[in-house]
Amino acid sequence: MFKTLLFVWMTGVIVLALGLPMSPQPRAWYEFPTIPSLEEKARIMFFHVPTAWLSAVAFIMSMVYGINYLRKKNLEDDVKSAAAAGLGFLFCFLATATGAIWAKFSWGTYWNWDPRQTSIFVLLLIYGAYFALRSAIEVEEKRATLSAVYAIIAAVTMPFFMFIMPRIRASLHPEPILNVQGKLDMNPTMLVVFLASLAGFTGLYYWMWKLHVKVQTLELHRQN
Amino acid sequence: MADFLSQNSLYIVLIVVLVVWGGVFAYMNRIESKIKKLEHSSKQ
Amino acid sequence: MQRAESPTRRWLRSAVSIFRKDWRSELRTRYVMSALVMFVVTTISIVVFALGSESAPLDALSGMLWVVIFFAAMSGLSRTFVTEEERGTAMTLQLLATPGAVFFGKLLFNLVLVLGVNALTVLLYAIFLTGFVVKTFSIFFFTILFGSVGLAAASTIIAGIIAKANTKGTLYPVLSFPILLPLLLTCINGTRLATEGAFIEEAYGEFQFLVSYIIVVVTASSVLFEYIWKD
Repeated sequence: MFKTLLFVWMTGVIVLALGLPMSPQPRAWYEFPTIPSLEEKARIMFFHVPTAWLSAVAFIMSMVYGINYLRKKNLEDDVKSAAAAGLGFLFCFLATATGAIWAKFSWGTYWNWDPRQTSIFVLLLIYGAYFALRSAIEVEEKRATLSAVYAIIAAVTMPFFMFIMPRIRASLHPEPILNVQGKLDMNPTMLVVFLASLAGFTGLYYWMWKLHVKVQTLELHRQN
Repeated sequence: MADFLSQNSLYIVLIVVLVVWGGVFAYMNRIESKIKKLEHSSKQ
Repeated sequence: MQRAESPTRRWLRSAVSIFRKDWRSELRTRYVMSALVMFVVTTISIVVFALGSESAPLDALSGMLWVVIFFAAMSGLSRTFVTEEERGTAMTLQLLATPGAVFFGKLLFNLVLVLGVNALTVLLYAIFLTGFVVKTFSIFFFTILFGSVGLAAASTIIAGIIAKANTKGTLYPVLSFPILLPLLLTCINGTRLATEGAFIEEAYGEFQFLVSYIIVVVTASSVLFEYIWKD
């Protein structure tokens, strides 16, 4: 049931995101406004932002299950934490890649050391470090404990990173247009499709995560 | 041919993305049914 | 009448004695100190040679300083835990002291090490990189001070993590870099301000940041260390 809904939902999102017409002065309710320099390429936002959002959500999930593991020492929590991190890594990579593509269109080069770009890259480094750590430990309980601790330490220092970026790069580029005012200053039609995409991607992530956890738990129990 | 492509590129992208999405979904479904089978057999 | 020693006092004494044990062991063998000194000298020489007769822009030199500091820390600060594992003394330590005391003892050791190494680095850097001129010394002093404390704090907990892993050496910078990045960026900024001759008031933001970073990292580490340390 959930899967059918997810399929239909995402198909709808894709069709709307890519199909709805754009015009400089949107008059009909189903039209998108045209953004001057980007025009059609702005549609990438419907796909790029959700991947970035998910990589952050996955990170927090990984940390939460890490904390659970430290408290209860149940290896299933570690499985959940690692699965979240794995998906987070994937989505983070997608976010960095799609972000670079968008950067090429709107700012001219693939990489700019813009605050957002740099933070997603740092997140990528954290995920990479997390898996490098996991692969260096063979004993399951040790691996679970150390990864959980690292995930928590990383999560604790991330906010600091978020805070300094604007200060260090204040003089450089304006950020991706739609979020710089802080408020969601988006055309209603775009907003609806955007939020729908966000929800759809989150559903997809949840499904993938559940499957991952099932496989890993099966393997975990088979070893015992 | 090139004209047609550049005129309707957005719709080409739409079709490509839908095909990719369909493929991903079908693949995920296959994995899920395989896992369900494994779960059932391990429960016995 | 003898007053019973309060737990805090006992803990503090424990931590200090762990620090002193490490320090005395270090003075005897001088493994870490000599390696670190050579590392700093080598790295700064490389930088000087790489620049040749070119003079690098001041901002780049500010950044370079922290690159050297970071890698020096990476080459030296994990030893405090790794040697325990290598010598097989980790388990004994576990039995004799509480995790909190172990953590703060090791932290103290790394702190002294970092302060010493950074002082040397700054000295050599100022001598051999002639383009690097500090105009507001107070900003520079506090940046180095707070930066070193933060560096020691983050490095110690990560050292604790990798001591139990397999590929310790290469894993250490990989794990530490994302954690230390906010600290490094702020310190580079502070150093830059110092070379530009800014007023100390302008650097207050950086100092606030560094102090809160230190507090958060030390707190989180002291809570988490217990989980790493117990077998």
